[in-house]
Amino acid sequence: MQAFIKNVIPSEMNNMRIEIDEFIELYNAGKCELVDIRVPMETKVWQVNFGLKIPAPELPERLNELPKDKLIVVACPKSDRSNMARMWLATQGFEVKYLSGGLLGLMEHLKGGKAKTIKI
Amino acid sequence: MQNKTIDFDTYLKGFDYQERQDMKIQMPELFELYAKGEAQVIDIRFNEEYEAWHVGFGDHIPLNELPDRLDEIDKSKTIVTMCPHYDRSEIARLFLKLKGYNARYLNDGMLKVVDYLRGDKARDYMKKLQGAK
Repeated sequence: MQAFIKNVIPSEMNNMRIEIDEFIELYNAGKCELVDIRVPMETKVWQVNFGLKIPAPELPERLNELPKDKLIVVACPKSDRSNMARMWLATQGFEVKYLSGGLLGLMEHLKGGKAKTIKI
Repeated sequence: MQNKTIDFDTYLKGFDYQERQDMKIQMPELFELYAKGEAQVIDIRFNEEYEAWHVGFGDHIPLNELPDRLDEIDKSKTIVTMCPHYDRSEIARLFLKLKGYNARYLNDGMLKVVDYLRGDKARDYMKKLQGAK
């Protein structure tokens, strides 16, 4: 964590997060996996029909469910919790980014005909 | 007052609804706490950003300098980290939290603060801060 914080420099900022367009592109190419880290009650309210659902507090116990050969994209409704999960996963050695704009941004993006842009 | 450091795994596993609330602070509460002298506000943006513009209260410690400048942080206060939105302030908050500080991030972000503190609102709040000193 100490080393991690010190390495936050302006040119690195963009490597922490991924924009929705790029995420969809990588997802369609099979190069990344989405991880919805919301808590179960939130996931009950509404679900994303692709990616993995692992609540943030369960991540330490369920690390084996994450693919090691893909970029991990963590997401929560906006981006505070996903940022936290990203940091933790980064300390565990994963290549990981958080979804800029969050799941709400993603749902907003996948409206109408645009829903077809993601290959499930 | 919190002093104990927490390891990241433990913190993550214990993350619940309450912590989800406690990790952030909204503008009205921040303004109150700060005026009462109960909060230390830290702008954690990079030096170039701070030079370009900054707010008239609080301290400036760039995120990547935080580990070396912990002695500037007041353990007896609520530490409120802020950046333009809240992505970096959340990193700073988490770092400080794990170090044992009572840290929260400003959910509204600095852009909303400067948008809110316009005209008479700026006058009233800055007057209030002066009165408090």
